Amino acid sequence: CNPILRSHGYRYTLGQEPSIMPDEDSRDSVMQRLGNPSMRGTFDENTWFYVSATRESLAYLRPVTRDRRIVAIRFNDETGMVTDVVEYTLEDGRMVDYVSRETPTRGRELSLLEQLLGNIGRLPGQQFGGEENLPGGAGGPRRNQ
Amino acid sequence: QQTGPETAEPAVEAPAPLPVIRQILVEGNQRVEVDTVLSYLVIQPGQVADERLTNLSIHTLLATGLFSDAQIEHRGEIVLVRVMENPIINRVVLEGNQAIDDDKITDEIQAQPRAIFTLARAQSDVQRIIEVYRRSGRFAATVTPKIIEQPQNRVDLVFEISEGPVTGVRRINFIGNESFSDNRLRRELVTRESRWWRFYGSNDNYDPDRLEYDRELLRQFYQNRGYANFRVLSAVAELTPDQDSFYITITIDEGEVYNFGTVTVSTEIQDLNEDYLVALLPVREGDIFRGELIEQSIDSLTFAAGVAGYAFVNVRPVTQRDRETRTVEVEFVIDEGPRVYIERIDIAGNTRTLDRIVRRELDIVEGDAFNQVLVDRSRNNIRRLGFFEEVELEETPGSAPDRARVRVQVTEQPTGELAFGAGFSSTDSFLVDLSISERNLRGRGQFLRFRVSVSGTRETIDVRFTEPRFLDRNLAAGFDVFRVNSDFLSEASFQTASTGGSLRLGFPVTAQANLQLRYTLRNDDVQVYSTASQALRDQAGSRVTSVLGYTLNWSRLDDPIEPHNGFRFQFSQDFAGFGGDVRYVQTEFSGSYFKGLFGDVVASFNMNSGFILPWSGDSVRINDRFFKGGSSFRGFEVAGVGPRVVTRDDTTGELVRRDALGGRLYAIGSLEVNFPLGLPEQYGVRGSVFTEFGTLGLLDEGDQIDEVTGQLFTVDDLALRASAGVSIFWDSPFGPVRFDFAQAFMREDYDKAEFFRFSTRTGF
Amino acid sequence: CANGPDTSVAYVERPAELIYADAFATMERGQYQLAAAQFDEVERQHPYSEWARRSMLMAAFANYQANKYDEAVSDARRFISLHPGNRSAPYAYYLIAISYFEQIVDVGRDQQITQQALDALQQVVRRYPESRYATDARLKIDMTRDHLAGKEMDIGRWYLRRNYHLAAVNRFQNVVRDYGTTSHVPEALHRLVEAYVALGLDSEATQVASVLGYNFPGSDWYQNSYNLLTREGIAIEDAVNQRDPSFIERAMQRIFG
Repeated sequence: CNPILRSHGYRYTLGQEPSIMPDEDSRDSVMQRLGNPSMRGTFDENTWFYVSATRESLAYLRPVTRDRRIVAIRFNDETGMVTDVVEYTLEDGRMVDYVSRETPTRGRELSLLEQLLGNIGRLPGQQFGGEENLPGGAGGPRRNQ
Repeated sequence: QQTGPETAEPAVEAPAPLPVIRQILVEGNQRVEVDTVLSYLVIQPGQVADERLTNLSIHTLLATGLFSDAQIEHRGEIVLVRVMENPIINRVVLEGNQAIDDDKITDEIQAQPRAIFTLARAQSDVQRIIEVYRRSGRFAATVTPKIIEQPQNRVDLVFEISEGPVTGVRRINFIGNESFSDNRLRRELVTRESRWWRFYGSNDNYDPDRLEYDRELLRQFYQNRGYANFRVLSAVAELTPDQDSFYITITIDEGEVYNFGTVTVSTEIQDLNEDYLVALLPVREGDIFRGELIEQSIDSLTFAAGVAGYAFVNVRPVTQRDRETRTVEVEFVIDEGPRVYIERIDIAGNTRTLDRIVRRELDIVEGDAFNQVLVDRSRNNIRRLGFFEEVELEETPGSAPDRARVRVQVTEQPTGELAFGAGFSSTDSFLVDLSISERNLRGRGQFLRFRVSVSGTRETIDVRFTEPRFLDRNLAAGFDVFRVNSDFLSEASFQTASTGGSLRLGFPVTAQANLQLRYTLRNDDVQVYSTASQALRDQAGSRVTSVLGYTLNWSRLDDPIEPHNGFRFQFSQDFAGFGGDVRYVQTEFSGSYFKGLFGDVVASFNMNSGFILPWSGDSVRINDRFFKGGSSFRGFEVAGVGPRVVTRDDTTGELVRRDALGGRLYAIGSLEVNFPLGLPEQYGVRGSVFTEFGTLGLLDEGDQIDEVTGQLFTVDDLALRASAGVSIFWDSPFGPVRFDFAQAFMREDYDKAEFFRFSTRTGF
Repeated sequence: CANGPDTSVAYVERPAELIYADAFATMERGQYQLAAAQFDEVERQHPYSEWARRSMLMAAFANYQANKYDEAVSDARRFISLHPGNRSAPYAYYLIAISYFEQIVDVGRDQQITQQALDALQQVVRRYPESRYATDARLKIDMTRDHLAGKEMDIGRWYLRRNYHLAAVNRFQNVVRDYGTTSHVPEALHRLVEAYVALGLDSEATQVASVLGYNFPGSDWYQNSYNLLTREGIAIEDAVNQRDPSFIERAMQRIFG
């Protein structure tokens, strides 16, 4: 069985590899040629990132990132000209095991019983594709319960 | 002082200068306070009340719905506002509604006690009530509102309802269908014929919207089977003379079966090589025309363009039909689409299901290029969950021209079910099963089912749980706990009570094939009749079986319900002996191949075989051995084929048949031709001619007893048995009924033949 | 569904204040649903009396106590439409807000009710900034925004754990930008550090970590970031003092702006 390949993030059109040159390109020329960046610096508006990645998933295995390309463009705050262009690839990436702790949130968790019993709303008509979501379906609990 | 704008009207002598308002008085208000009325007025003291402002005030007063009439009078510097309040509804009374109880109606209408009464609202409530009745199938319902004056400007609002009869669907007929039976087409529709026991689902009443949707379902059904020119000429519902139900007649023009003509791809994008793309298409010239293949082709082209770096393309199919050659020429035109990225995906309406359960079904991720094919595919993935009534993916503009947002709007539906089934057959006598299941447990998409089923020979209680996305991967994991009592006393004089559990893992290998791994641990307690043979009595007692197994399923059928073409294949092996007292390797294989001959006649060839090999000197116990006969080998009783304990009647030398012993090897094939019996369609009767041939046998040495005159001995010679016969299938109002007439023309003298079998099963 | 105690009250004409007194007593006894029905009765029999206006609001309160939130909201809305200028109108707006507030469900599910609660609470603060309801409403607004931020974090973490770093970074940046004052900001900053380290964007990682360290020095999240950076050999110490302080001020400005 062949793996499924999927590309995420920014998409370069083949054959027209735009090259961004420091001191020649400005914010407008980059915007015009590449469009909005995939993401900007968290606290630094003058850094633009174009992130693209390809992932491969095979049957039940967890999808794996096959390659990644990040183009980071920094601009001078006043002149708006490109100061430097840095490219990162998959090799620069690292494996990080993310902290499992989470900041707690409130909110009423539906109790198990409420979910299980609150839902025997109707007896099954024939399990036929489009039947359920059609006008006039069988009883079911009142709409605004 | 406001000076009016210079209007272009002809010069009119200036109107007398309007006085400045000093005070505004309110008259006629009973319940609404004066300052409330004033707060809605546009004119305030100190202003000049020109015509425009006065009209605007009246307009806003009326817009509040509080007043039935409002006038404003200018008396010099005093402005008098005279209002007539709308009455208040004292009580809402529904008369004449039996079929639908009050709650259901009061939910739908706006009129509530203590709310304000307006004629407009009463009229719209009448429409709402009629709509409620229409939805539950009563089209003849009429509603007349009545108002009873009450003191203090209050009214009682009475809705007099005459419900009229339930307009069910007496019969659905098709005209013009040659290649598919009425019965088969009926199965495609959502509207059902009314049956007395179908009182749960209300889909068996007449609803024009549903009939409209049925037309679409029919079109898809035919277009996926080569009928490119299929058209529904008309779908007419006539009221029966006694007015209580409808005859629905759907006239269709099937047209001819079309094949694909030349299939081409054209694009201006230079980098996309057209011949390479054509090769990718799932369509070949000459194939039978199928609508869904066009959709799939668009998918694969968009995908190929995406992989080649063109994420933003749209693919348009241009088709021409050629009536003479009955072919459909298809040209796929690919052109560059706008470069838009998805900046945010929000999921709304999931009041029960968790956000991640829906989000993991999406083929799109935030930051991806917007691709309509992936959006449609994501929508189908979510619909396939079966948790939602409606699923819509809506693209809305993002924070920049090249950004878009996707809003996934779902409407939850009840996913809990109470299922009840009953059946009867000449051998099993009765069969009853009851199950309660939940498909979306705790909003996490998990499946849980409790089931009890009792029949003549077997009682089962089992609990089944499945997590469809184990570890968030495309991996279905689950467990079962079961207790099964099976009673073969009359056939093989033994009874088993097995209790145990199993763990399962399943995943797709390809689009049409999946593999399932399982581990089962069970304890089988075998009791044996005291009169049984010594060998059998030794096998009594309880033993633990611990078995690891796998099953490979591969199915390429054109239609899961009534296959006309294609094949289905299943191969499974179980290795018992990882712990426990029982050690064997069991291999089973089953395959069926279907071929549509002509019209609605379908030939099928089925092959089933199995083999148990004990290892490390163990012998296979009776409850693990194969028993064939009854529905698994027509022409023979249940467990009527295969090794058996017998005695020889010393006077006649005849063999006297005793208990069946089962065998370690079986192989049964069957050839069947299934055809309509030419009776009018609505009887739903079909017939089939079949022949079954095969064998069962191979007892362990330990279980064999040599013939000693006057004593029990075993016979087992793995001979070929064969039978031939006719079956009648009747889709009766109570459910499918089946009659089998089979003559075992090749059999061993110790087998137990059976000429007639009958069984039925109904569920609702 | 079970419709609780018999709420159909015998239709007997009685003077308004008598029914009102009964209703009030029933409510004191804690039979809120019955009390709500009795207050309705007052209004129905004597729609123009002073008692009618008061019982409309009392019915809303009784329904709220009986957790009949939809009925409470509709009663309160009716009171506001009939008596917008009345001195207990602020209470009616407040009742609507807390009726929504108490139906907020966990972050895994649709947050439409949370948004409705936020809008209603903001209305209370906007219309009656000085009222005592406003002070409580402001407190609840923070909790509601914190909850909405929690939803963003929940989705951000889901993307991060599947290594969809771009999607995750954008979600956590939303939290920092739009929910700067909520309890989730420290974690959002740490998650950004995790994502940047995974992507290999070390300078971004140190920048975010230094803001986290500067604003939440004692928090566990900063500890996590610190451990992660040092383990990956990305110097964090010099990164903090190298940065000119004005940068931190600008960053703080952006969060708490």
